[in-house]
Amino acid sequence: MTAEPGRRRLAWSIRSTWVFAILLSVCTASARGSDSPPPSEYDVKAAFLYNFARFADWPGVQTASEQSEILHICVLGADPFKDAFAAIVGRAAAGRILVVKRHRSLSELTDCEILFVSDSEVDRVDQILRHFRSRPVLTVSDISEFARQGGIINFVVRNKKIRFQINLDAVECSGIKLSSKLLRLAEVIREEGLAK
Amino acid sequence: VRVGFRDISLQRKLLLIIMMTCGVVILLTSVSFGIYDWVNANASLVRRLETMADIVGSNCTASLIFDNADDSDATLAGLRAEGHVVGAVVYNDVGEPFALYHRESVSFTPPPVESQTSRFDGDFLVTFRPIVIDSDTVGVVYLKSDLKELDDRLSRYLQVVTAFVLAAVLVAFLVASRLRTVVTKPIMGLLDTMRIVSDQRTYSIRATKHGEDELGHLVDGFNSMLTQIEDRDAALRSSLSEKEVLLKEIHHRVKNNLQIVSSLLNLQSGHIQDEATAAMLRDSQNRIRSMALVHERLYGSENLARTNLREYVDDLCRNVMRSYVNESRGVTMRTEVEDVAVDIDTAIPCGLIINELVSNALKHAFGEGGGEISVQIAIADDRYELTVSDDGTGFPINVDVRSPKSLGLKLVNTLVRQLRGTFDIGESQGSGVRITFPCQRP
Repeated sequence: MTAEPGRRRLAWSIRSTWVFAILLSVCTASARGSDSPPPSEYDVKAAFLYNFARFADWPGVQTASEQSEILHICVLGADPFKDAFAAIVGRAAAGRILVVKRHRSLSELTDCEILFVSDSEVDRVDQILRHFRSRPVLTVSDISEFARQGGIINFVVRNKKIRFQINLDAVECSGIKLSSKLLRLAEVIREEGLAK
Repeated sequence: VRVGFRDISLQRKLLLIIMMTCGVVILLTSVSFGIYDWVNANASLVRRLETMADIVGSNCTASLIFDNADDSDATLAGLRAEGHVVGAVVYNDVGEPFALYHRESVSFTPPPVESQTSRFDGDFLVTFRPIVIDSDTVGVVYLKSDLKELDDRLSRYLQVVTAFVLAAVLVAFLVASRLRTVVTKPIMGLLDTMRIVSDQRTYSIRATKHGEDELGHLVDGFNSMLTQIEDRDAALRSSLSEKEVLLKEIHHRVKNNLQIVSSLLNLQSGHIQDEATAAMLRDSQNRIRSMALVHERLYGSENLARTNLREYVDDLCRNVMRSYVNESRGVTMRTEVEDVAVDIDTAIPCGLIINELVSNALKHAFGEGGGEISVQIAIADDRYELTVSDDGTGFPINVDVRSPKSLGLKLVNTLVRQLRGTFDIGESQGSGVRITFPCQRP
């Protein structure tokens, strides 16, 4: 038999005091943030990149090597984020420490879990996607039609809000497992070009 | 009520006790089970609501962190299938309502966000559960549920308990009705036997025994008491009849002995020349015969202690007349006696007095012409009034009845004293002698 509700409620109230304290600190932190101007587009996108990691599983990372405890976000091309990653770097996503690397050329790219392709690379998209096809790298970009061209996630703007498209065929090719929670929020794209 | 319960029959008492015991036991059991179940149901309702909140929270994590309220709204809309959920809110990390659901029929305002808690709030159960991902709290889920499920459960339980208690009492009634034959039937049998014994005074019947329990012993004891009463009755009756036989025998022998004495006197009087002596012997003979007559009558009658006074006086007077053959010629005897039974202590003195007075009258009252002697016994004010009178010459004037010279009158005097009576002689001619004495009550 479980404890009667009265005692349970007492236990909750004690436990919840801590949770409430944490919640309060989060709230006040956010409140402080709200004093500053609203987050810029790339602040949001940086947070999204970090959050994608929470809903993705990369193949072969189950082995507990030092390598796998770090999650790399690579930015290819001109960096639009400025210091947007400052709040995120060093935080853990799915148990992995976030590290941001910036690159100019494809040849420099090693150990990338998430690749953000900058606007500046719009002419090289095909080449870049071919390079990463069938490799466990989550390719993200805000270049239009990026997903249709074979990229995995493509930022779009809907009703002044940032949303994203996901190319399911590209996801399958990469071997990365994306959570259904994430897929539910996305506009799903097939390579044939049919939105689902 | 207590006196009322005491007064109702044993059968009903047993029935009531068994039914009440069953009912109370079932009721107590049901109440304790009910409390147990109620506590469990509450806890499980809380658990389920928390689990549901956690699931909703988990489904809303992505929409919260990707700021997609539409998706959270869609998730919350799924709660429509859970009829008991009145309202649901998802708060974002700063505690602002992010997504909302409420049942169409109710108005609902999102409450201010709270820390993790579950509580009963009036007719509702509310819970706040944090939404956590990678140890970051990204929001809070609030669920508000009505308690219809608990109410339904309680009312269903009450129905079942009521039915169960009624069924138990009914079963108890049936069982108790069967038990009646086991417990109350022997008692009823004993009661019937007791009624017959006390009403009809028959001690020959016996109560029927149904078993070796306390009631069986009671029946045994009752029967054994009846046997003892019967035996004692028989012993008393046989002892009484023995005594009666003995008493009859004694009366018979006394009468025989007195008759022998009388016969001896008769034989002796045959050898006596002197007229006066012969008369004395005849007087004695009459006295003895009047006593013998009492004993004869007693052993011949049903009742050995008392004899009928009228019949005795009639017999006695006839005997006296017969013994004075010469003197009684031309004399008529008239007796007028109450039809009563008297004991031997009254009959013998009375008989001797009548014997003396009638003999005296026969000897002295009449001349050649004869006359009438009257013997009367009446009862007035609990006293016998014995009058012996004649229409003859009457008592001589000089006779002093208090200290008479003649043996006959002396005897009468003594006998009257023995009867604690009074004695007077009428002044006028033929008025006779009047004796009154108290009735001997048995």
